[in-house]
Amino acid sequence: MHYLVNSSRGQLKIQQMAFVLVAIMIFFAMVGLFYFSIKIADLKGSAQDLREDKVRETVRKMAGSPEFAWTASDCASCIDLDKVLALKERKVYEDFWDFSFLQISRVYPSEGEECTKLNYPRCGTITIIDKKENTIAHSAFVSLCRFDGVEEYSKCELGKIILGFESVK
Amino acid sequence: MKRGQEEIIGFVMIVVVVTIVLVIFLGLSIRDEPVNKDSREIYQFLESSMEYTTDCAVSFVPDYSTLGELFGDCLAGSKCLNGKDSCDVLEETVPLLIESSWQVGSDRPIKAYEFKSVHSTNSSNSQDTKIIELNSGNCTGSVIGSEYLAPAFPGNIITSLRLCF
Repeated sequence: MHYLVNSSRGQLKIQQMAFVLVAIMIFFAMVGLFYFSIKIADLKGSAQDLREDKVRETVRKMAGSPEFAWTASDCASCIDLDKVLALKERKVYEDFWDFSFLQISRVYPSEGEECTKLNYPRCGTITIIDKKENTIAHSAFVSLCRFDGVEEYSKCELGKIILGFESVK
Repeated sequence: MKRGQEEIIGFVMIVVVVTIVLVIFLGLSIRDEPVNKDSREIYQFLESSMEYTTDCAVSFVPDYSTLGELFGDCLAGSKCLNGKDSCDVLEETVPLLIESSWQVGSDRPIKAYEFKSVHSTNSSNSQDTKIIELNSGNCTGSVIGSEYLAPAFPGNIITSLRLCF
């Protein structure tokens, strides 16, 4: 009889210990989940930053294409604004690139209007492609260079090239 | 005190100690530390800005200096032909370029910026010579920035821009 009482008390203790261990395990698991979810969110943020940098670099590469490149000086980030304006007039270039939006925009000195032959160079943007579709746009800083016919020198200003890719509906 | 009560108190104490240790650990590891990230966008801004043609001609008109050349002119103490000091032209132009590219202010996402340009010789025992340093706002939060290096014999001109959030 005495043996049976001791045995049931021992079982109770083991049961108690098992519950405590399970509770501790759940507690640590929850803390671990919380910690790793934050760390993974950080990692996703870093991956997003890297992806954006890559896209920005791709956009920037457009400045080096023969249709845009400024060849008067050795400058990888320079766009020939005169060339771009001429490009805008040529409708054949609308389907030359597989973008839904392509625009060159002056950042400083800032001017608002869209460029035409009449207001150039006192204008802000040259839109080459605008398919009016759902677009995800990415931009990169470039130098906008042109030959100033009045003072006869090459002048570069700060601008952006904006590329739009069709978004998935 | 009964033995069962002692056990419960012991268990509660262990849980409290473990919780405190975990909270401290999590607090330290998740703390919002000021992050210093290298930004491709800022590098592109610096690289493109260096080509910006200023209204300062040092030798003859219309041989206007680019912003990149003006750092060297400022270091040499050159004056523009219109009488302006090349360093003054830099100090006027750089904030205009930055503030046209990003909206900076206490009520904006970008709270402050730090722009610095120094001339550094390659020898280890020489100190960097400051060309210009411009600050706007109070930089306390996380930071993104980049450096642009241009050769300037003897040594290099290192231009950096940091944007604070």
